[in-house]
Amino acid sequence: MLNVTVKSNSDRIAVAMENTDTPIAAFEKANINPASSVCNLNGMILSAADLNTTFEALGITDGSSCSLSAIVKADGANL
Amino acid sequence: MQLTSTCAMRSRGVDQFFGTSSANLDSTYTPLMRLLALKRCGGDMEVARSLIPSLFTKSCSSYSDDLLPTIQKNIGEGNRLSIFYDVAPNQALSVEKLDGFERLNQPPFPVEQYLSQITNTKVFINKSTKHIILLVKKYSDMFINCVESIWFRIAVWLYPDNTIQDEEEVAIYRSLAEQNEEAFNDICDAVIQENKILDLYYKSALHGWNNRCKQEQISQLKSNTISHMDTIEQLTKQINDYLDAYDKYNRMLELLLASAQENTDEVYNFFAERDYLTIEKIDEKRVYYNIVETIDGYSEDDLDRMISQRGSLYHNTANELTQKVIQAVFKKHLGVFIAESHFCMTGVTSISPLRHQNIVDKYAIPHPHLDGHACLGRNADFLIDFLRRGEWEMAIDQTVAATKNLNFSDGVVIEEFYRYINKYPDKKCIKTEDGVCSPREIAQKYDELFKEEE
Repeated sequence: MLNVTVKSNSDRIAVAMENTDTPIAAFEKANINPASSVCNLNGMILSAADLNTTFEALGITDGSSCSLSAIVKADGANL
Repeated sequence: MQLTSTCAMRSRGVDQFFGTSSANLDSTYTPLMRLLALKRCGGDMEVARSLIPSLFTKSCSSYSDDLLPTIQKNIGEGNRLSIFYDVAPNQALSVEKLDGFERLNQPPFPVEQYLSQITNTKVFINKSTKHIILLVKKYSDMFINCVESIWFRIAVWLYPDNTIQDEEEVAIYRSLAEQNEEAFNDICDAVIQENKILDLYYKSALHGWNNRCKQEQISQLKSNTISHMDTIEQLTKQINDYLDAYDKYNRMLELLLASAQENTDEVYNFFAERDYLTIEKIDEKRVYYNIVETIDGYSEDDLDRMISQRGSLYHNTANELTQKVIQAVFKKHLGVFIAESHFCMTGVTSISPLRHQNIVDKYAIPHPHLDGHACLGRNADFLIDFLRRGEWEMAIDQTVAATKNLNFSDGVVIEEFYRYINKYPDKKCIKTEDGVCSPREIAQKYDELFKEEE
């Protein structure tokens, strides 16, 4: 079990996830769309591929807490 | 003849009527002129004033040369009765004629000869302009009294038929010739009584007085209104400036009060966890940091619009190398640019981009929006929101997001970006699958892979 604090420009939501879940699943659970955003996990910037990688594979150990954020890239960015 | 101050012609009412003061006068000249004016003005104050020639006297003791230019200058200045005294014989000789003037030295009324019994005198008059000029060897009260007593022979335009107007005027001149002050005063009293001079003055002065007063008040009030409006505008601007400053300081205060007391290493840990953040320097209040990240956020639509429009910067400004680099990186995704940006964080309440900094990373080019223009664009709104909520970590992450972004719809930014491509054509600032390469190398790779397609 992981305690994930999912943050965006407007929200800060705590969700409980499994170690085998992915960041994109955490975003979905928190109802946050990470498109057009810079996503980072504990300060590590996540690529598109990373979003579908398990927390375990991204170095988050079971039973710990982590911060997952999606920061909007403003000024016309849609990638 | 010396008049006492009790002479009615020197009263305050008469002074007000004529608009001049007689306080310092002790000769009969001004009272005489006022008498004659009152008798002939028909109650009209303006006519009365115009009938009185002011007495101009000038000593000529300092002149050794020709007097004529001085007299002519004096005439030009509009003095209607001018007495030049202490005139030397040679100066008097130099003025035998004056243009437009006639001398009063011929019978039947040889005025000059009459006055010369007191002191040598020359008399010139101009009937049309009503100018009188007397050249006198020695000026004295006796002389001026004598002039006054024969005024009807000098100011001849007042006596066209050489006749004195009435018995009262005859009595005036007789009193002057006989130096009879009492008789002169009696006549003054009678004339003033007859003219009811104060009534005349008040009537004249009050005619339209309310309108004039009203106009002056309107004018003054308009001026006051404008002046006060200007002041209000200035003060309003000042108040707005103070309100802006108040909001700014209040926001900073709220942020500081809201931020938790720092008793951990959270700021240090935050920077330590992020390899794309580098602290450049720290002082008492500020942390200067830079970000090195890839530019992978942009709008495909804006890019396509720029490429498809014939008049766009892409066609007008970008050279062949630049166009190939844009195509290779942003359309074919052969690599991503590495950009560097610099920021200053003041406490944990304010973060500002810094312009035109030295690029420290050997693989990065300056970020065209942040380093080129110190502008966060719309990222600034999000950043401020984070700071307001005391979320300084998210605010820093927002500056990372800004660094990873390029706005193809902003012509100024894109022009700056083109300039950087041409400034660093051989700098390995593009991250590819194989490592890093320069704009020139990525353009070559583009040529190799997509030449046929073009």
